[in-house]
Amino acid sequence: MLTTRRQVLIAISQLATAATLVSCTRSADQAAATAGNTNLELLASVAYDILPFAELPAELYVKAAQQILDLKDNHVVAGLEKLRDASHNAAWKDVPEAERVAILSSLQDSPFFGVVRANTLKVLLRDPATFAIVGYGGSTIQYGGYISRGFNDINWLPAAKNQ
Amino acid sequence: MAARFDLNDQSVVVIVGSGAGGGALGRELSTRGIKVVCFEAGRRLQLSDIENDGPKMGAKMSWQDLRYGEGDIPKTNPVYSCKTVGGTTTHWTANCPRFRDFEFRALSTYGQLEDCNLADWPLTLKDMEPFYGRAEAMLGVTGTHGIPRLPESNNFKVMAAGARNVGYKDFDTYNMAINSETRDGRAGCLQTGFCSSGCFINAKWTTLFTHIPQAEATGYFDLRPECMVTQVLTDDKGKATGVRYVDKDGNAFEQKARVVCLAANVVETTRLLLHSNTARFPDGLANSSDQVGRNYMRQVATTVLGLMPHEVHFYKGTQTAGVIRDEVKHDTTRGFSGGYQMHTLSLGPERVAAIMDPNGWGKNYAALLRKYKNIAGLNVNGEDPPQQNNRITLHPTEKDRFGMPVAVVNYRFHKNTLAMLKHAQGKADAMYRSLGATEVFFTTLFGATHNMGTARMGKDAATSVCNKWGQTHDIKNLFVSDGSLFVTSASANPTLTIIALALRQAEYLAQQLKSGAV
Repeated sequence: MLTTRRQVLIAISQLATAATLVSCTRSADQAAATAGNTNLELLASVAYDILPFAELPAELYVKAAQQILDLKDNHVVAGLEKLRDASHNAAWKDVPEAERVAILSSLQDSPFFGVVRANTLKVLLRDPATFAIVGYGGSTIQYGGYISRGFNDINWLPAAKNQ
Repeated sequence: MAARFDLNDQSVVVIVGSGAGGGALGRELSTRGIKVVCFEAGRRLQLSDIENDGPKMGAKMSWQDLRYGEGDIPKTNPVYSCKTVGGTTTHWTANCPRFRDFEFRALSTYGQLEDCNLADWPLTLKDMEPFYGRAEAMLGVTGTHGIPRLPESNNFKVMAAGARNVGYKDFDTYNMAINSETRDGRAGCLQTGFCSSGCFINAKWTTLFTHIPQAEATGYFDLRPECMVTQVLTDDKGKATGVRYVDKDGNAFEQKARVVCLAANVVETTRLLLHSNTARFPDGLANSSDQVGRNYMRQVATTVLGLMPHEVHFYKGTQTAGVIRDEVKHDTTRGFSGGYQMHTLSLGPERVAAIMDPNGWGKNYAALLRKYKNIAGLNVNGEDPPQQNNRITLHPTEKDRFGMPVAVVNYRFHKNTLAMLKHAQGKADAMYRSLGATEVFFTTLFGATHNMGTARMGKDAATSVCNKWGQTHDIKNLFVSDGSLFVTSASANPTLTIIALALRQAEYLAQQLKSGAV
């Protein structure tokens, strides 16, 4: 079954909301979480726009967002405010894709975008779920390497002519 | 069994570093019954610590203390070196070419290049051949001593097919310190694809699992891991008397020594020489020539990734078992002096993504990364000319947690380097496109693993730091035993030459100790 971008963003939203609700005690924070506009949700959906793999579990984008928040980087806080202004405080899953890409493009040279991009790629590209998507084997300790698993099985190259 | 020598034992040889140079020298000396204390800043890993995970192993093995880069190199992490027993031989990909004869005679062969400090080595290939031979036998280098070469991987086959298409003739799976079959108590390669993260089956040679335990077995080798040497001590007569070091708990000690040998990889060896200055040696130790820290060389290096029309799965198999040697020659019709090799190279998705587009994001970027399985890769490794201002210095104010000034690595590409890069990239591009590559990506921005030249050997004490044995001209019982000794970089990966020089140095040092000259 093909997963759509919209479905991924909704899943991200649900996860981020749940994660935030667990930790917030003030009713104002709970309201923000339920409205789908917390820092965690915003960052997780930006992470998805940075490297959109619809097959990946939404948890991975939320994990990336959490790691970015854990950096406690002022650029991140400031950047999130800019995103909210640019989208007029709409929940990010509801902002049309073209508009989101335009907003992120306008920020792509900012320190905020640099931090978010770098950490998103770090989390996603080190995860076995992504390995499966791009066709990378990852750890081979448990399989005894590639000696009998196709390290030399290429078959589309032109044959070497006898010299 | 492992020895433990007294801090006040003035008869020991202190070696700083346990990698290619320090490990080889330590084994040679201890085998001759010479007492060695070997300091290693990093911890000692076991085979069971090795995982197939680049970032995790980088965290376990690599040197992460702050260093600055200036010029055409990364601003932080300007070099990649290791801090672990075995040094960078835990991380290396085990390519073992010898230098060519002309590469020991760069000045005579090329003539002086503009703004360069080219010189001939104070030794020749003929002088080095017996030591290269011994080193290859010790390491079990494939394609030497009757040892079969490694099999051809997919990535090699792509490079070889491209090589044929552009008319190259001299390519094979290289001379590798990776067992192609069981040898010397170590397993044959299983093509795991994680050479640079440490080899968990121990097919790849590293001092950690060979020379270090062999040295310990002599009873003359005292390895002190997690001990950072912060200063070489000298007396008012200008002799080295020992080293100051800090252990893992932060306690400082002084170890007396008869001889001190620095094999701490180029940045740390240089930093120690410069930071150990005294009233008698105000510009640092062994620096009367003002050459310590100068002539810093990396190698002319560019990673090339070809996006091929079909699947390659280049991550399967040894990372660098493949070479093209046709460009290892001096032929100025190409527009530059010196030569270069090409090696196969494979990388994981994170590094590939950074090379394909260091700023990429969005749908198109994700679509590009989905083609990872179609990537083929190679690395160019060429001769980098020495320049006086490519130089390692100490930061004027910033210090590390040991109170040592932070190292600053200054490096700019010479125009010979830029011409060589352009030529090599053109050739690699043609090779991959001849097989239908739709895109070819290049990078030259990375922390160098091949570091050389900052305590160069030479006949003349006015223009070099060490003699042809690696003994400093200024301090008879102070030796340099790593890539810092290199006069020129050649197109060869440096490790085999570092080891051969260490074997040669050990013979000389043993004689000097016996005769009482040091």
